[in-house]
Amino acid sequence: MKKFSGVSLPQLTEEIVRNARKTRLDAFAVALEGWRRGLKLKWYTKDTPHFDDMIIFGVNPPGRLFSLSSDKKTHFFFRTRGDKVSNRAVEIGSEKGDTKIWLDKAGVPVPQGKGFPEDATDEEIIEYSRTLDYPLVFKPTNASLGNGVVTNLQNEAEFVAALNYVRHELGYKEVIVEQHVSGKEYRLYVVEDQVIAVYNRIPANITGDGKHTIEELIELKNYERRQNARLNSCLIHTDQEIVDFVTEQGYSLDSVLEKGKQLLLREKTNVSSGGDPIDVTDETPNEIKQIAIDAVKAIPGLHHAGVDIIVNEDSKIKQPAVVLEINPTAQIGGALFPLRGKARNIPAAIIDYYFPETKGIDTSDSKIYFDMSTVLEPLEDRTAIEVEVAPAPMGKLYAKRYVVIGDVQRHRYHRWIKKQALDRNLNGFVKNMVFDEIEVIIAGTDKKEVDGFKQVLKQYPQGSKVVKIQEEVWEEPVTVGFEINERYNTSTLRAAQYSLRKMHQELARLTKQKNRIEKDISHVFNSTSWKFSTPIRKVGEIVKGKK
Amino acid sequence: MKIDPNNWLSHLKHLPEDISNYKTCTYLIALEGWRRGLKLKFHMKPSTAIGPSARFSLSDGKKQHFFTVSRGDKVTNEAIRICSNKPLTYKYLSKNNVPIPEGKSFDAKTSNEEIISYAEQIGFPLVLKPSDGSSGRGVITNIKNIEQFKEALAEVKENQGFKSVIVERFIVGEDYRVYVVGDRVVAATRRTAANVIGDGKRTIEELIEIKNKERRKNPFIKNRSIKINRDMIDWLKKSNKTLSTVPEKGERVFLRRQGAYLKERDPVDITDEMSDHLKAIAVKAMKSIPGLTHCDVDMLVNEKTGEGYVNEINSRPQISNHLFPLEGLARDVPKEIIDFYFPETKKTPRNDFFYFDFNPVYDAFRNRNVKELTIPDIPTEPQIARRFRLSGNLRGVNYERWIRRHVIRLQLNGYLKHLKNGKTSIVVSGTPENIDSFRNIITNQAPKKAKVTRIIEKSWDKPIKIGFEFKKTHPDSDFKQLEAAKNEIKKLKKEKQTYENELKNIMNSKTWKWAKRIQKISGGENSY
Repeated sequence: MKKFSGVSLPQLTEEIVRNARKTRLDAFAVALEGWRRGLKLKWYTKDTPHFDDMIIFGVNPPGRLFSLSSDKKTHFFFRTRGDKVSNRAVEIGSEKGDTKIWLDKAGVPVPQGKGFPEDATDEEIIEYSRTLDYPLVFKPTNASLGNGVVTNLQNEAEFVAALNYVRHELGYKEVIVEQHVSGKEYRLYVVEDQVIAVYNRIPANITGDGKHTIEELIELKNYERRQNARLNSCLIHTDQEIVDFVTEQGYSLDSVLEKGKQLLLREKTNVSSGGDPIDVTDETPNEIKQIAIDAVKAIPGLHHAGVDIIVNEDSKIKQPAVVLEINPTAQIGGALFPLRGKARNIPAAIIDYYFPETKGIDTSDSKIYFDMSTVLEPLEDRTAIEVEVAPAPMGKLYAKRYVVIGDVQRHRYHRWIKKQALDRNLNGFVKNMVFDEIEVIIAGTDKKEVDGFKQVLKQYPQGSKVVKIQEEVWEEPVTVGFEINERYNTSTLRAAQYSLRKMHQELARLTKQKNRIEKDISHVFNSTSWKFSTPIRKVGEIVKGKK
Repeated sequence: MKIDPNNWLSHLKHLPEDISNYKTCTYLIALEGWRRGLKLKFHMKPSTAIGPSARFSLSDGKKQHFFTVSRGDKVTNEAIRICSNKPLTYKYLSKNNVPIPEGKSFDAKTSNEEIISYAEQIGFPLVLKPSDGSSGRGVITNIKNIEQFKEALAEVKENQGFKSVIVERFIVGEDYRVYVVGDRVVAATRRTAANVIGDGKRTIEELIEIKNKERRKNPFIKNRSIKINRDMIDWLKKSNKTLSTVPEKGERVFLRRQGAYLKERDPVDITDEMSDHLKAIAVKAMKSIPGLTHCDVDMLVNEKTGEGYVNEINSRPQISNHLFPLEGLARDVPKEIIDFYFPETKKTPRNDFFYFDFNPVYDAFRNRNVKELTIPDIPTEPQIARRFRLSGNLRGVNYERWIRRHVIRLQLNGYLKHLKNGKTSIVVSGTPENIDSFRNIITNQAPKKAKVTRIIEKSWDKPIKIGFEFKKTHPDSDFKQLEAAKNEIKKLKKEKQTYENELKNIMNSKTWKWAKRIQKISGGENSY
């Protein structure tokens, strides 16, 4: 199976972020970077008073609010946004009209246009539209994720239709009318006077192979997206908008798309509505980067944010690019897990900015992490409002995998191993393999201790009969602490309850995976090309028969 | 002799299940502070021992105190060091003229001959105990002659591996545990040898069974049943009794010799009966140890003469024996300890309407990936509690997730439980306004597939656990659930494997490979 073709950061692999999805991924990536540099990491629920003075929004289940501290100071974070960003800046960023005013005032290029309050009349707005050159854009002032944005309006008839749709059907009364600048959209992530990442967002799209129908191609594309940590929560959903858009281009969902032809499915470029993030940091000219830097500077107290721009392809406008939007709480998953190109380390840049004294600490070969789901468990049902993660071992991590063979299945032996490991400041886990084998992963910064643990494993005082120990270097990531991965410890009710919870978690994960695979298979089977190809048809019939 | 839970403190009647021994002590002191509005945090111990003795801290915003089980930071490290070393403790006690049993300690270098000759010199009966043991480990009492003494010495030094020992005079008397805070005895418990009281009908064996049932209800001794064995039968024989003897109504029959089978003893509260003379000895004992401000003083008391001797001081004792006596009144030691550390909260009303769950704290520290955990503050604004019983189609329709969103937003505490009879119970506490909004929401809204047909509302006056819990439907059948979950996982894994293989086959099929290649090529063209 093909992995997504973007290059992710070595220290932030798919496995490490497995339990951090969507906006939790943003928070996790930043928190992990700080924690790996030796900063103290705490997670909070919404009930904590620490964020009373900071603007936060959304439902925010645990995993979005955290703090990092050194000996001298503490900084609080909401997803990717830290407490150096002023509330005023957040407010300005959330109102597109305000953003524009501030940017314009500082001489940062923005599309010409104007915001209208709730009580503005339709006539007033139409009147204003006549002062601008078509094409125009019509959008709500404060909706997010590209909702209700109507672009490329060619004439007054289309403009009035858009106005009716946004103001009266969707009910967004506060709106903005502005020039449509045609060109490619980019999101830049800026920290102070540096652009850390630039990615191009191509609207949801597919490429024909002369075999599959458009509907099948969308499914195939979704299959690829599922392999990507950021995109697997943002699949392409075939909705009316897509159907219309495809129809407009002279196709239907059942058309077989010709080989090599790229078909856009929407106009919206948001990753969440199926857009592709493609890293273009190195190719982006400095001139464009400077516009984004100036935009962040133009908003007082902002310091770091995502900046959405359009690189101008229209000769009527002089500036090389215009700024569309500023997002102080930007999602960064696209830059961390691009569909193509190189991942950019925005978390490191954010931590550099908040804790410049930790700048020299390189975490690029760090294999240590913490499991989000177990750490956040006490916060999920609000038995706790703050949880501090055990500190990360500092320095290079050595890890070994020992397979211990013999009479080694007793829980007491495993508990003893755990104690020995923790006494020596080692991390890892022990896991049952087969009836006379266990797997022990040992990781620590002291190579001697890690290597010497082989001897320790043989020293169980109650005389467990270790027959043989195999060892090898362990290259996979390791979680902090030490866990006994014993699924079947039912010795006490408490242990049973604990195992039960763990099992339910695993069950949920497996079900999800299974459903996905099932869906993939069913789509492949239903595709025309498949029906005409013969190789493994029997399997297909068996599966079909099952349903 | 029936256990009367009314003797226990009413605000501790609803403890979370499965909390016992040291956990109880830790929990109860933390709970007392938390219920007064202090900020409560649990800390993973810097030492690596994995035990139930979690460290916690309480803070009023101005000052913070750390506790390990029942010991707080107003006890100095020096005091802890002295108390964990019996010879040293005795030295300080005798210096301050506190009565202690006559005796002598011997270090690892002393020969057995020397120890034996000392034993003969002070005379029998004697007690032999390790210098650094705790909770009665390795203590052998009532040694009557030189043969027994030699046996005992071999047992303690060779079998149990203690190096240094104490030989002292065996004092015939009752065993008292006296809790001292500051300059006052706040609780005293006599540990009476295991016994039953006759009802004129049942045999001793039947009475033991009943007694064990009662013991199991007691958080302090629920894991310490009285076990019938040879020793017991022999002991009963001495008073011409057997297990099938029917004692007279009101007759107390001791099942063990005093000072033996320490874990089977009954905690009996004697705080009010204890003489001022004995209380003064206990307080004096504590004050003899520099830096010790609250502790348990173990005393041997001859109740006939009224004389008492101090034989141990414990800086980190269990306190639940004072809280859950088998006879007598419960003494609120947690209250005394918190009064001592936070005297300014003495008058703060304790909010007994809430408690917090302790088990997640242990789960969180279990794998050591969590270092510190803060319990939510106890709500300060007045709250009301309601129970809603819902009928309708609420299972497997994401109702729980939907409810979770609303309880988080409205800051409600409580739980949801699907009942066996098909109904669903939701207990919530919150401000009256938020309870109103919650009622509105569950009455007028529901997630897509869910359907509520009927809601019955009742007020609720039992204590509420802070946070919001989704309770399991059958708490008594965890093992069954576990089995079912195991099987389900197995099945799913198999299924997943099958699908994965199928998918792999398809991926490797020619058509797919070809299609994929084209995608890749065109993908390259896309990337501008």
